[in-house]
Amino acid sequence: MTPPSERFTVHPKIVSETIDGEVIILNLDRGRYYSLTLAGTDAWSAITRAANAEEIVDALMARYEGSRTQIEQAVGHLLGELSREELIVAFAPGSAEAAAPPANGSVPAAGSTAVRRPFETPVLRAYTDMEDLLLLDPIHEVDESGWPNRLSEDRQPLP
Amino acid sequence: MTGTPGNTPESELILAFARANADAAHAARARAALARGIRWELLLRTVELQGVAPLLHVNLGRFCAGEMPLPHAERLRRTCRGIAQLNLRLAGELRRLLQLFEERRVPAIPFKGPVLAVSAYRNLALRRFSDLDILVRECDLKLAQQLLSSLGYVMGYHVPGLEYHFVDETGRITVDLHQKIASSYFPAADNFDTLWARLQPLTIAGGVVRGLSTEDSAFMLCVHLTKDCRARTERLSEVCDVAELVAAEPALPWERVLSRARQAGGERIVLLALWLAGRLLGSSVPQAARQRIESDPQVASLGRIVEQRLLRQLDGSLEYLPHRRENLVEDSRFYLGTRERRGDKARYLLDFVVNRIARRLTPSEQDRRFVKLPQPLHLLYYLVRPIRVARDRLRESPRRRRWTLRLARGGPK
Repeated sequence: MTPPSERFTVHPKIVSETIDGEVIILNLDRGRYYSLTLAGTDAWSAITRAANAEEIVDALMARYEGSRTQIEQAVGHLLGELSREELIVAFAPGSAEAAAPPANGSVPAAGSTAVRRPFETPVLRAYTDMEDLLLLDPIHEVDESGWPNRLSEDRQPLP
Repeated sequence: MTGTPGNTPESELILAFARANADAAHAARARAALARGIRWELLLRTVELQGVAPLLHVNLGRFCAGEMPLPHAERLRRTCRGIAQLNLRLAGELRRLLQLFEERRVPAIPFKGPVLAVSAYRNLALRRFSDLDILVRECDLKLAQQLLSSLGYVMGYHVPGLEYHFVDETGRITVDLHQKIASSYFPAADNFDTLWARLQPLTIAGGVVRGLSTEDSAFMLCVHLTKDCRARTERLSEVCDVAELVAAEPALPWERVLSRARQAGGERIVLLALWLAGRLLGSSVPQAARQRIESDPQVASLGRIVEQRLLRQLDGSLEYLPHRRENLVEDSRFYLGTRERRGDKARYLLDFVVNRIARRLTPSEQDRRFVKLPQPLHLLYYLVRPIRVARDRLRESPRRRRWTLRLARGGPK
């Protein structure tokens, strides 16, 4: 586990958004996409509020059924992976990054009455550009016969 | 399929879930539609075309998890993940561009795209967008173009007086550099400086960006919806934009929006958008607008045209075509209906006539192929044109000429 005083926040070069319980993360510098689901989504949510490892574990304990040791190990592993991929940065309270509001209060405490799901180790999935390249924009990238016929290279859409 | 447009299970499901915050009543409507049996392939195609796939995805997951067959659910999930990825990339790029513009002291106003997704939907992944729209002052246009070029953007087409279209090196990010928010046929509530003075900060992709004020945003969305209705290229997502803004900003002073719109001759455009949002998505029509809609029958009359077309697209009985099919009579009648001031109507009609005449007289590529003239004599093509046209007419077979004449008189019988 990381030192209890150490907090985590999202790297400044990272943008992320959540849709249907899945966090999509983009490293703007490297152009790489990642995603997290289930416990990973909850851990990311805590990180966006500048949580420390213990607070992340508490948040997951409140939502998932699993031993503390199991969840601590999974969180430690996830934080290591997120740091290696430069998606998060660690900081000490009082440093410049500490300006972000801490997780206290906003992360549900262990023992919450909400229905808890079985804990599964969070997996950080990395993607290439594939999925957005598969997208065909129905307005700008189709020919006049309509979707899904791709506009040929030499024909630009009408304004 | 029933005879009433929009009364299929697919369109019912789409209309129930085409919103960021569906409630129990919407979920009940969706479940009733699901119970009737869904043509999933048609549904997926429709939500992708209408730009509301993420809204359906989120609400199905929230209220009807497991109802969609696995292969279709996987396709929808992949589509929405792709949309989220692209939107994040565009949001990051917008921040970078605005930062560069600021450093070079080029005032720039982002609109639609990430700004709209965050301000109306509160989530970058819920609104599909494919490009970035940035408004700059006329006097900064050249510098703004240079800045984009310095980042590797290449200029594509240009719509005179309106926008320059740029594409980045990867071909995936497009930026429309605007001189105006919409063409001069549509009302502009205020000039750049007034819009600039009213900008509001909002957080996009972790950075603070200044976008149009909510009031200006509301007017802009209504204008863009009407513009696309006129071209018959409207999509449900545009109606959702208005409905989501109404829902996200309950304190929005619609009296002021309407008053500014009225001054610009665009009140009916705002009323039409609100009517459509209320009618199709059950959006609550602001009190200030309700009375005005009731006293202006033209709003509902225009609204019903768009409503029927959208409902037919949702139930699969009308193909969505992204590019405008020019139908001068239909388009002009709709456009004139949206304008409330005689002066605006007269200006349109005058432009229309002048453009038609100019189009008839202006030499074309065919004229240039007919006879090759050196550059200094190009003016002579104005004389060549009537000769070339007369020759083509004479060459037409009598049968073809009869058919052409019949078409001109009202179409083949």
